Amino acid sequence: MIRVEELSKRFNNFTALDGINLHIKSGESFALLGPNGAGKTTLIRILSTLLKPTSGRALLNNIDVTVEPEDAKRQIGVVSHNPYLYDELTALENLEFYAGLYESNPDIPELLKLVNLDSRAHDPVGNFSRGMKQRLSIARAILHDPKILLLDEPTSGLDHKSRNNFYTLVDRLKSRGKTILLTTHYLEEAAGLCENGVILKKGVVTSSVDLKAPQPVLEKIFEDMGR
Amino acid sequence: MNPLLIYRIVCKDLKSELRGKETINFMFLFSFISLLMFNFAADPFSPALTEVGPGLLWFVFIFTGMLGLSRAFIKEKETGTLEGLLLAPVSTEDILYAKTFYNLLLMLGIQLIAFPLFIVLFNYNIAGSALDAFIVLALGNIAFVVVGSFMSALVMNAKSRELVLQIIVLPLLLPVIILTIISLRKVMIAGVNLLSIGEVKLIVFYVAIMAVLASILFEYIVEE
Repeated sequence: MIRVEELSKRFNNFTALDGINLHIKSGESFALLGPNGAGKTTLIRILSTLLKPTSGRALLNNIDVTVEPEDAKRQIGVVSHNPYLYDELTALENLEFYAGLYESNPDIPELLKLVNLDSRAHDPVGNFSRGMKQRLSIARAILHDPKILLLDEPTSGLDHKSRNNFYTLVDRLKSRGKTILLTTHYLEEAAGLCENGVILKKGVVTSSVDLKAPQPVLEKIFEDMGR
Repeated sequence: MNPLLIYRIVCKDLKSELRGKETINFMFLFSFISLLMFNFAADPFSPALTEVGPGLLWFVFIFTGMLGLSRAFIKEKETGTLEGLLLAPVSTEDILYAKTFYNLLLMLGIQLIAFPLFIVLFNYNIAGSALDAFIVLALGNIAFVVVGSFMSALVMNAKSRELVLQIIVLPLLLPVIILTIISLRKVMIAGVNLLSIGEVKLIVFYVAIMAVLASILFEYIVEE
């Protein structure tokens, strides 16, 4: 469960988020939509404890991200356009390293199989394509079995095939009951992975979106969003 | 503080460095060439060399260390992996301690090779104990990496960060540079015992103050 209450974030005179309220139920897949600079990434960074809010609060499974950041970190797995992987280390070594930081003992060969990288387990990540790195990044994000996945434009820069592979993976995680918060610019991604969403503009939630609405309705919403 | 997490981060850094050899080769090469240059520039049998030897040795270590220091945080920042560390349940202090310890290991590795090399190349006769001289150098290195690692984190978001690092680290290190050279002179030239050198206690005091300050302030540096 993700609960955001009157959350604001200001950088000097610039207001990135202004009194955001959100409630995402356990097991729900939710999209944060909006044009560039709307505040989507700022919200994800606050939820992932990388930024502190100016006011308001954010709770992950009832854990306040500002008050108990280390406990909050155990609740989440973050996948962004940056895979957070070490090029000199192999896929296996990267996952072992991160598992060590979480002090968890996951079945790493099984995780590599899940992301179709079991045959490349001993290859340095520096030799991987962007799509492969992004799949490995999912394995990194879920190795401590978090209840919540924060996906911040995870498919930006990926080709069509890699993007589809990524969607298949996220679908599998959804079926395992993970709560998913996704930020994206792609209509098919939001509609394919999420049931509900909100549109953010200039740091404010402007409207809610039913992502199961008919395609023409969604297309109109996305068209208006870019204006 | 979680020693196990610190150990894991240090092991990861060492493994990455030994594979890529981006820093260690440059550090070793720089110290070797510097010592070789000074060796050709000065007469190894000149009495003047005995006088300047401690300063020369410390000069080589300081500038060799500069090459390694800048990489500890800046590389993680540039590759985006620093966020990966911050997303994991690791305290910011543990990240700082791990980077400091990793830098220290690099410096001690270079010292282990360069110190005997200096003695052989310059035919240097240490008046006191060679082990004492090594310990003084190691203490100086500890002060250097404590201040340098923290400053490396401080400038990681700056433009021309590697240049900025050198500009702000050297003045901060000036007290410890002077204290280390005085201590080295006492051991290497006057043959004084390590335990009776007051400057050594001052270096330890300096390290303690800087370590406390760095661990208090580091959290504010990594937060955007």
